Amino acid sequence: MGKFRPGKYREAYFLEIDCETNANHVLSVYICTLRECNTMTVTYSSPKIAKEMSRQFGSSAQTVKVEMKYTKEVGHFIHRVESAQRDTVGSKLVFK
Amino acid sequence: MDAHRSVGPSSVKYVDVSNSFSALDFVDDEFGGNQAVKRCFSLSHSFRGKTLIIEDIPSAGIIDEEHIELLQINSGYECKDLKRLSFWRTRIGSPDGIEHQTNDDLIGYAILKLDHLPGKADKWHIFEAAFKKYEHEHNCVPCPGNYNVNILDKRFTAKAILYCQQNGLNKACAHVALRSLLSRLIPQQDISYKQLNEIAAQYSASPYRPADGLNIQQMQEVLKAFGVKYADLDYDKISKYDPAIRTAIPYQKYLYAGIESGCGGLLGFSMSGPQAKDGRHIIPFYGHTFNKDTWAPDADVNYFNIGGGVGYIPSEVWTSSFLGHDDNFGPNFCVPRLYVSPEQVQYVVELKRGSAQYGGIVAEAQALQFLYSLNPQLNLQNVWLKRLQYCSLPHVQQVVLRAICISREEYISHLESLTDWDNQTESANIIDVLIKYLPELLWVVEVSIPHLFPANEHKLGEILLNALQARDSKKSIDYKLFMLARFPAKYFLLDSVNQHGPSFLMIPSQLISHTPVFRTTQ
Repeated sequence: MGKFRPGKYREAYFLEIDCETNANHVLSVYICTLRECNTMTVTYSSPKIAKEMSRQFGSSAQTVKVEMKYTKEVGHFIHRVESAQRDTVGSKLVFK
Repeated sequence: MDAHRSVGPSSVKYVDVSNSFSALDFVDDEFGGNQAVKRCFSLSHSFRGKTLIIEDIPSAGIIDEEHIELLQINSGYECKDLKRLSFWRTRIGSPDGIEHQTNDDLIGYAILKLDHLPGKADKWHIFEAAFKKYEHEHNCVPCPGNYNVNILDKRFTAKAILYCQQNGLNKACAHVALRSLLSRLIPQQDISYKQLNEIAAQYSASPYRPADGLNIQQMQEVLKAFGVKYADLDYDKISKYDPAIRTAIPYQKYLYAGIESGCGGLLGFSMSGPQAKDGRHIIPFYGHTFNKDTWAPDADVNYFNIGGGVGYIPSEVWTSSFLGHDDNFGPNFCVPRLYVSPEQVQYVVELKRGSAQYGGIVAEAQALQFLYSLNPQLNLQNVWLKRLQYCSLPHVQQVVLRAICISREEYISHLESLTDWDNQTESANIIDVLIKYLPELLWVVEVSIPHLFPANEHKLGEILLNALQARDSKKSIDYKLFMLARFPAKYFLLDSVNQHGPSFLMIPSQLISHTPVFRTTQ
């Protein structure tokens, strides 16, 4: 990881370097349009695990394309849950 | 925070509670017939309790704090009596007898206060109590608290969930329900009502009176102040524009997710019945029973449809009762899972583990989508994958899902410990990679099928989601949540995503059949 000075940034580019192999290999780039970036974030991702697993199990690994199903139904359900929870913020219903 | 439990007694009484002892007479005579105290005696009786030790104790710690607060509310307040009751499985008749006792002999303890207000009848209430859970293996209480208490100046630890009772003065049901669950979650291991009331007072439009209870905003602010994440839903408010909300998003799912993750949940409801008062009541839940022979899943009574004909069998359908306290009636009750009708329920809270960014209901829905999408890739050469594939076909949808929020270390330790039906264990190389690359907190959505889950408490794998990653609500699928899926003989890892959809990397797993489900510490 490069040096990062806490402070205010309009945009921050997080470059994640593979320290394990010391190969300066950029795993992923996240472009953030944040008003403030005060801390360095560590990101975990499945592609990162996939890359390492692929390195170790190259001969027995196989990549498959997958069609995501029920996107509309699951998306609608989660949206309903999240919006109900958002609308609960600050409620004045009393329990005694 | 243990000061009020650690004080030594000024006088002691030993009561033989076996044989012809009448708890009802005793509580009526000594403690004003308090229902919750009677419940403590009933619990002792269930454990075949033999001795009750009654200690007169001075106030200390957070009980002292409460007295100061009560004097500020009413200058005539006086604590006329303070007693510590401890219930034992053994016969104890002298101070020497306590030396031979262990934590296993202690059934539970209760600290009782007699409050006096000028012009009103003196009233006993239970400041706190902690009683063991029943020892039945299907009585599940994940992550109970450890409460250190001195009895006759010897330290014991009660492994339980703290019970607290309201007094109608500086604490109502909402206060005691919050303390009950928070005391085992926060690093300080307890909270005082003074702290709780100071937070709530900041969010009161009118002059704050603790006896009037807490509103949802005040409860939310208390949880935030103690750094406890939560997912909650005000059914009363949401149902005004979404009348089907109570059936679309059942309250049981919030409670179950909080309980299974070791944090618990709160249920707020309007009361009914002959003794019902006006207003709403809220109680804490922290455990559940498990009934492998329940009829409900087979009868499709509890099949959970998230909409558009997409659904699954949530593992909570094998839960007969939630375990909780009702401050009006006492500790450690079984409340049948379907007993409180959805129409009565006004509010539910799932307390979340650590810094989890979303709740169990979202985790299960997201995992379901990955499972059903990966269905065509399941290899039919493995008999267990074949069964899983069948159960997750669009016209079948008979998979069992169980969401639990646990740490990376807990998951790794679980994975390392797994031995499948064919005596296989996972490769150390895979475990080494996962230790390095998994986030600190995970939603582990366990995947099983009917019969295998209830009969063996076994699963066919799990889908791991990053619990620390906030879901992007603008996206219909947030791939950043997905960490991996493990099924018999296979792992699926997200390789890449482009405009045509995702690609997954499949690698072999040495676990080729079913394995035990994750069990939280009890």
